[in-house]
Amino acid sequence: MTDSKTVINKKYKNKKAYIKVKGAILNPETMRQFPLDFECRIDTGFDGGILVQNPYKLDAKSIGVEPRITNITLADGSKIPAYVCVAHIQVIDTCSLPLPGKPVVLVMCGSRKGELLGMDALKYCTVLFDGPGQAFTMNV
Amino acid sequence: MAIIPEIFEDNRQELSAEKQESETSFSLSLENPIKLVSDVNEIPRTKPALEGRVPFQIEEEKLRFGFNSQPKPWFSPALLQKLDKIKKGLLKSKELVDLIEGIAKICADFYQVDSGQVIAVKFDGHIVESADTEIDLLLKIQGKKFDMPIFVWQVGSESFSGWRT
Repeated sequence: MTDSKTVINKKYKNKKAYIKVKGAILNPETMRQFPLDFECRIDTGFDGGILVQNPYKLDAKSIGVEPRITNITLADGSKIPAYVCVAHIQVIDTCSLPLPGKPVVLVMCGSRKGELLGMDALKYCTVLFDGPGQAFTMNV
Repeated sequence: MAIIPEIFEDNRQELSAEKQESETSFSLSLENPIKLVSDVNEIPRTKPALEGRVPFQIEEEKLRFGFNSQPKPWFSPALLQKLDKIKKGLLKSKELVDLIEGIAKICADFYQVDSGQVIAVKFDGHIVESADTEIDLLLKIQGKKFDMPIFVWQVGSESFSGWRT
């Protein structure tokens, strides 16, 4: 991250905070990578990095990265098995991060579309939510 | 009144023979008088028994005290049944969650891992890697191959990630 902060101002979409995130799953041994490009919903209740659908497990495997199984907790308190590996965030909206990017925990579970950006990714920036104004500001 | 055992003639002969022997051995030792050494160079030198070999080298196998492999935690029959099921691909999602949680908790107790540490565990209960954070652990094990599947776990937590309070 550079010293000069990039300020991103965004309006809520359907009463929710969304932001564009680009990154990759990297294989440090072969330097192969699988690109990730999502419009993620910011979820401060999720302590992982990025939550994506289960099929991304196959994409990770295709470049030689083996996702590891674990248990995760859902919002209703139930636990389900999920796969995790490291992904690198390289772009947040208009702000580019120095390569290879910031490492976050990529959680793969379920089949429902709708990627989430959790606290493990938000630790690299400052986010200010303006509830009445239906907007948020992100300093990266 | 004490009963004094009678010593027969044969026994007497044996006893006297033993006495003679002990006297003989004592007298033999006296035939070699102790010689006082006045010069250090007069002390006879002996060759080292382990010449050409490194002394006191203990083989690694001997240090294991009989264990061919590292000790691992004991699993309950219920866990072993689930492990058997997972090999056959018959394990349901809920059972897998219980299996992972069960192994992780037994494993953390067995190896006395500190709460908050993140560990990678083989399904037989061996910890293969540990780290302070999830990212560190995942980066450590990312390119590694293991002889059986592994799972990741945060000690003292109910799950690795998610909507935790």
